[in-house]
Amino acid sequence: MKKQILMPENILLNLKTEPKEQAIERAGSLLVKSRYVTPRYIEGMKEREKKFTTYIGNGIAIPHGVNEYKKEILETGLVILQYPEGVDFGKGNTAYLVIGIAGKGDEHLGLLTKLALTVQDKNNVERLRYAKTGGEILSIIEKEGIA
Amino acid sequence: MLSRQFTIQNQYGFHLRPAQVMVEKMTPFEAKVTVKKADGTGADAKSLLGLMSLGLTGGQTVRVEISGRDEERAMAAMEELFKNNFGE
Repeated sequence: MKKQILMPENILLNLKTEPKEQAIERAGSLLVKSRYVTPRYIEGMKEREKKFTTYIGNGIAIPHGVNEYKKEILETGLVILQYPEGVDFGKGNTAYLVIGIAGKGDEHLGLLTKLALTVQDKNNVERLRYAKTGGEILSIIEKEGIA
Repeated sequence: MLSRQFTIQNQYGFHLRPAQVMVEKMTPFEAKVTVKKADGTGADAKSLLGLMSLGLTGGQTVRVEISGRDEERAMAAMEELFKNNFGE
């Protein structure tokens, strides 16, 4: 049976702030645990961040592996880490949601497009930052992410 | 201003990696680079968040508009990106 791309247990809430390397590792480990990727993929995620930041603006970072590590992806999957105090991504950028991505096909793009639309409104960034349940995060993205 | 139409050839659409490659290649240029969908919605080609919000899929046509001092070099770089399918 095909796995869900975002499983409820893969939304971690109210995490204490930590260096971005650790946040990326946490997201990567969660992708490994759910068998979306092999452990080597985490190296690819770290490399990506060194080459070019995965902070995309408006409080969101989307760590993922560089192309060379694509073969380490077993299935498409996402994990969401919520840091109400934020994680410092450098250059004055703070991420409140760190979204680990293992993209093999295109199943996850709809959700990412919705997320990108959702966070264009700063109020929604604040709502996501302080949401109390994973369900709340998902329903904000589903309701607000309409073009 | 320079303007050119391109078709997204990537099998899985204009997903994360192609979008990030575009941001990476366009950021050094001074010119303003906009990617527009057929319905008129546009995004800054130097913003990953913006490009992601377009939700471009394979086979879709986009218009790229570039204006600024180095617009010709930026357009040449953009043509190269589409030609080699963003390195996919």
